[in-house]
Amino acid sequence: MGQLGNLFQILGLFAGFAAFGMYAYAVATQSKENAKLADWFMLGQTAAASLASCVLVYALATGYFKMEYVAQYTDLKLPFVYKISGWWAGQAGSLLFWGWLVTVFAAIEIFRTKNYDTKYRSAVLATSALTSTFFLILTIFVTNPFHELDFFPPDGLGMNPLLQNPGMLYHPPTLFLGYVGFTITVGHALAALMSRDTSAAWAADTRKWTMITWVFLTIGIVLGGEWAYVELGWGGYWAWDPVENASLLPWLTSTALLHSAFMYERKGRLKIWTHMLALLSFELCLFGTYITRSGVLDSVHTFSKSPLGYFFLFFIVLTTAIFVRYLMPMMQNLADKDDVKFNFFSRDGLFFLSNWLFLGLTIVILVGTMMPVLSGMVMSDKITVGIPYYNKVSAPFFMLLLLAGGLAPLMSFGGTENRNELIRKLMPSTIAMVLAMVYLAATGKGHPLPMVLTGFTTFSLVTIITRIVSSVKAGGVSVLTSNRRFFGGMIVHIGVVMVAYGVIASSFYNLQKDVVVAPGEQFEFAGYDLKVGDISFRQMQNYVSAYAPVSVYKGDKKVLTLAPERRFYEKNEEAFAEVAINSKLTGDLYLILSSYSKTENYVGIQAVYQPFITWIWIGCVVMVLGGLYGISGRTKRDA
Amino acid sequence: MKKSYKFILAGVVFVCVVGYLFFTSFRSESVYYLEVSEVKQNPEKYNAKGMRVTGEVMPEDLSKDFKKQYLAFTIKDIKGSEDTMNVVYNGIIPDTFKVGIHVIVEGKYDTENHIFKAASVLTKCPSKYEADVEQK
Repeated sequence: MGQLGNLFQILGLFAGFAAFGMYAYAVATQSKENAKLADWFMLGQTAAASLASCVLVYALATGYFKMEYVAQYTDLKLPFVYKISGWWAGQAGSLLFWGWLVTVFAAIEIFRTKNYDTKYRSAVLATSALTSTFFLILTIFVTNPFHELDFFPPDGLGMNPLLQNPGMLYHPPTLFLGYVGFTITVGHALAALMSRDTSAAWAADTRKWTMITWVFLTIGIVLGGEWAYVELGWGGYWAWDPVENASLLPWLTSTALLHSAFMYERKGRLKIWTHMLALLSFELCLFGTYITRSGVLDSVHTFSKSPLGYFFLFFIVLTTAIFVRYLMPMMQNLADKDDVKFNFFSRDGLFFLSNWLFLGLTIVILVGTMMPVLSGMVMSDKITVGIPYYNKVSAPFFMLLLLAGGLAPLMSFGGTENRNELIRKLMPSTIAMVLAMVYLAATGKGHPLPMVLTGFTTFSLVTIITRIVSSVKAGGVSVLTSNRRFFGGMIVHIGVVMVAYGVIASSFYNLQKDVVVAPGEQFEFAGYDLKVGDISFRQMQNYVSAYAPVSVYKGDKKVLTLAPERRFYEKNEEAFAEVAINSKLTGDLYLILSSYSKTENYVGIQAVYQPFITWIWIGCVVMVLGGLYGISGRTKRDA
Repeated sequence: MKKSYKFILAGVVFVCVVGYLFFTSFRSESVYYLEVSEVKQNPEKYNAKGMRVTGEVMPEDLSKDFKKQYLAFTIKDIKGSEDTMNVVYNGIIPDTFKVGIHVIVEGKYDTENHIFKAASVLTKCPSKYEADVEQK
């Protein structure tokens, strides 16, 4: 079966080379026939990569352990859905998955751009062909998922229990969709440069692509956090780990890209920014893969060391060089016209400022992540930074971004309204901001940083509401559906505000307690009385669970029972903690069974209280819905 | 003319703020990132900032006490040197902790007792779960 899968891969590789060559030729000659031929080769690659993927999924589903990859990630007892998820659980499979997605996206673009200018669309598709072929080179020559062992093992090694969580089914694929989508956006950005086209056509054309990609990236990142929260059992969702940062970096640049592209489209401004952000988002997705797969950094996520990283580095340098080669001669034409009046106290000014803020944030996080490598280059000792570094440097950026996001909707382009008018419009938000801060101070939560952050978040929330209310007053409820782009954006911002509240509350006001008690004893935590029951056991499909029922009392009334567990999987000697969580809008009660002993008669419980954490997940949903609403239907000009 | 002046001003302010933030945070929040052999050579120097050390957990001198949340173990240099280092840690013992895995310990080296006092122990795992398949 391995040979069959590999054969499809190799066919895909040749089709990819042919497609790339033909597209490149079509760019040079503008020949329609060549482009058409290239389309067929590209579709051939899509078919070949799809068939190869089918073979892999079939092998995973049926437990064909002769293929080393199947044996490494699955076993006979693994639940079926997790067998399928083996496709993206490991190095080789996930690279095939990525490459396959690129070919699928390219196939969509082939049909969508059918009537576009030959040179332009050939450049777009050449970018995709180059990328997908690069991935096939990796899965054929560097880490091949179809590699067969010279014997047939009776059973596989099984999947890491930490990966056996519904998060595994959604998190990697959504994140990969987010990574892959930028291939199309950057392809259009390059195509516009190669066609010497300075119009906003490409930015308008890729708006939906970029937004959908951004939506997937957002979902992917938040699901990753949610997964860590429910599965890894340390009560948090974000640890500034290199892999987490690697997914955040393209999110930051693509968020800036969405704003920048808007300015490009509407005002013919920030053109160079938009091109650069498209490039950066694409490259940072690859860069993330480079740092996680090369072993240059230590992370809880890293794959085993392999030469793979160097291939990625090479590809990043190559694609950046190509892009810059076509960007340089166009710089003069793309630059903002000097005669346009520019005012920082206008919506344009804030868009420009937010670009810098997003870029600055990207840089400090990138530098922090790469610190061991960078310091190793210039000093004799390697140095690394931890969570406090990131919290400290990123807080001011987030603060200013919240402020800018709050101010912008109330300002006009060009900043022509008079100052008094603006101050009047900002009154409700300013009052709300002060009230929020006074409330925190009065309730004894007066730590300056969360207080200021909460203030700015509240300010942002109230300006958005003010803006929506005043729009509805002026134009009736119908403005909400006629100007979807603007109000979609506002919905995204409301989502961001919700996430911000969740992050601030859970980071600064969480509670934590470790106890070791005898069964039957109780302890007080976060306003609850927790009564710990005796350890019980139960047999599940591929593990045995040991759990401690904990009765939660509020006053004398029993409100619920939580049962944190430790699971013993058949293929692993060590136990894995499975947390028990009770989620409410006001906060999560989170219990971990940290230890127990039947013979010594004790149960160790770690209790965590995370206020408002649910709002992070709700905010994410709102952001996603807002993004989709913004690109739904026909777009109308902004008011 | 006026515009480019504004831009330069904004740029300068931006670079200063980012630079300031970066250096202050960097100064106070960074730690050395070392191999076991490097710690053994000059622990005092690294204690000034604290350090993060990567190593492989050895089968010798391993003691776990879940009730007291106490863990003592030895790690070996992973870059080929023969150096080993004793580590003690008080806290919740990670699920994936066992002999043979790579861990990242963060803390300081007690030069009197020749023992590394770890404030945190991170086990490297999830996606790195690639064992070699062997014929039985």
